[in-house]
Amino acid sequence: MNVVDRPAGASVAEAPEAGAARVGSRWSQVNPTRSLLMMAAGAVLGLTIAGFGLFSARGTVTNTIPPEDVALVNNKPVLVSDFIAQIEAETGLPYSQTTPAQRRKVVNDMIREELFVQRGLELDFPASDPDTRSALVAAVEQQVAADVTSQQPTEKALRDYFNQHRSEYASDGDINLHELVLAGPVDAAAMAKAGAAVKALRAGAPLDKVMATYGLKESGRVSDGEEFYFAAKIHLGDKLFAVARTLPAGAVSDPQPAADGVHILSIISNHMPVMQTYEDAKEKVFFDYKKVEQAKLEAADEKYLRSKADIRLAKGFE
Amino acid sequence: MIFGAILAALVLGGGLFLSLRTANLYSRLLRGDPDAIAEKPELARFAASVAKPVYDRRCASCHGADMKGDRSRGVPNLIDQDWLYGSGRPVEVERTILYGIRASLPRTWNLADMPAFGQANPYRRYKVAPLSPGQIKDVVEFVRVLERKPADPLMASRGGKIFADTGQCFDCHSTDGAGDSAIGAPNLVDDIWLYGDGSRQSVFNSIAHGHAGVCPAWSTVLKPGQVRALAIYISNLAKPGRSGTARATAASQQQGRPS
Repeated sequence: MNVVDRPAGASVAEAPEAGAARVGSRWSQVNPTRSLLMMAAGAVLGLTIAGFGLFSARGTVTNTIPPEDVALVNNKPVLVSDFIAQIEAETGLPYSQTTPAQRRKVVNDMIREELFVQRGLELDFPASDPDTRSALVAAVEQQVAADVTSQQPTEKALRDYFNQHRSEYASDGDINLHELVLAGPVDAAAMAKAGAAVKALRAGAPLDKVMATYGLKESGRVSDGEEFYFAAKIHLGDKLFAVARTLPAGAVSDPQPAADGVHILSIISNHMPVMQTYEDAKEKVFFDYKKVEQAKLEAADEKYLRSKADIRLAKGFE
Repeated sequence: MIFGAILAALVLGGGLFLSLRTANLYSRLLRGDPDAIAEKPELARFAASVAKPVYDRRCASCHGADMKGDRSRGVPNLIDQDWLYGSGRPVEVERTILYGIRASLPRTWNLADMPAFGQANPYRRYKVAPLSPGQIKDVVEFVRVLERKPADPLMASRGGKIFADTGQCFDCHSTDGAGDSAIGAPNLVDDIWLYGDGSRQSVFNSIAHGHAGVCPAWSTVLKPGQVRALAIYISNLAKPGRSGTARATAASQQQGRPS
């Protein structure tokens, strides 16, 4: 490509320095032909690169593997840390004690996995596979929650939360009692007999003696000693538990008619739930507070996503 | 004019040199065996310089500026040489930083929780029967025996049976109470407590109410170099003078593996 015209009258036998200077000055001059040719060459080069990138399966690739990766698979990284965790899990050995052959095998396994994941995305498995969808939802939720999880609420924020939800912070109640049953039909005679037994117990008569005198038997439902309220409620049923929980230690209930006879509850101990102080409830307050904050953040995130999404509901599903 | 050009060249050259050096250090930090980095003082220093600000910004809010955690919330002490997961090797710490604990990611540590035996349905993963307050008190006494603390022998004897049978405590804490760092089950015999102070009431509360502490996953927030630096920094502070390689060797020997 010779685009430099020799000036009129120039001698071929000029000194080399003068010739070089002249060539330099000619290159600095505007030359439309040269400009067009260079522009065309640039366009061809650019189109070639773009075409290669567009039509080759591998797309744009880099020859440099970042230091945090052991491999790039279609430009998707396989992290060194994942590789080390994987090889240690597979071999049961610390990374430093693994052999090159073991390392090669694990790298190949991870490359295979990455290829299959990419293929799975091409086949759009997230649209249909429930496990994939669950994993994606969980990952997004975790990402949303990361800030909440890592931030330390102030003492004031926790105390305020505690004060606003005070009724939720109480110790567990537990109860220990005898449940005595006068089996048989529940009629006036049975109620009167049970009433007499209650009177005797309240007067301080020994339990064994009263049971023998009035033909009472332990129900066996609450004979394991102290029970948490939830367990006593399950064992006694809602109605009898409602009676028992209000009675203090040493108290005896009125006769309680039931399907299998008349029941009498004799309370050995009853530790009713007591409101906790902030200091006692601090751990639970902390976790509850974070849970609420996380829920707020997730709700805000969902609201944002909905606002950006194009969601159309079919008729009848509004 | 010439002086200005030389100065500019020096500044640019210096900047370039520092950038290349930093890139080189990051590269060596990330490519090397994390367990062996403690033996390379230059890299360990570099890791600490990268990790400290990251720790202060991301971790100190829970683990504390002094890294001693908070037992009122079950946040582990990072420098007491006691590890809930693994043995404190950088590789293991790195995994925890990347994927967290019970952090809703597939690679997170999430194999077990402490059931709440004082509730009707103590465990979300599989069926475990609740315990009565008396049974929990028995188990508390048994735990005190494990720790070689004064305990009621009769209650401890009953508690031992619950520990090894109905309570299924052995399943995570192992039959000798030494725990299992593969699933994050605390050692019950070392008098190091994740929650509370080890008193009867505190152990009772743990058994009755259960625990499932969470550490966030940082894989989507921190850069790989920051995570690696943080892992090495924490691991080194936890056990100064003993490299991850030495710990890895000791751990594999303990498990009867070839080293």
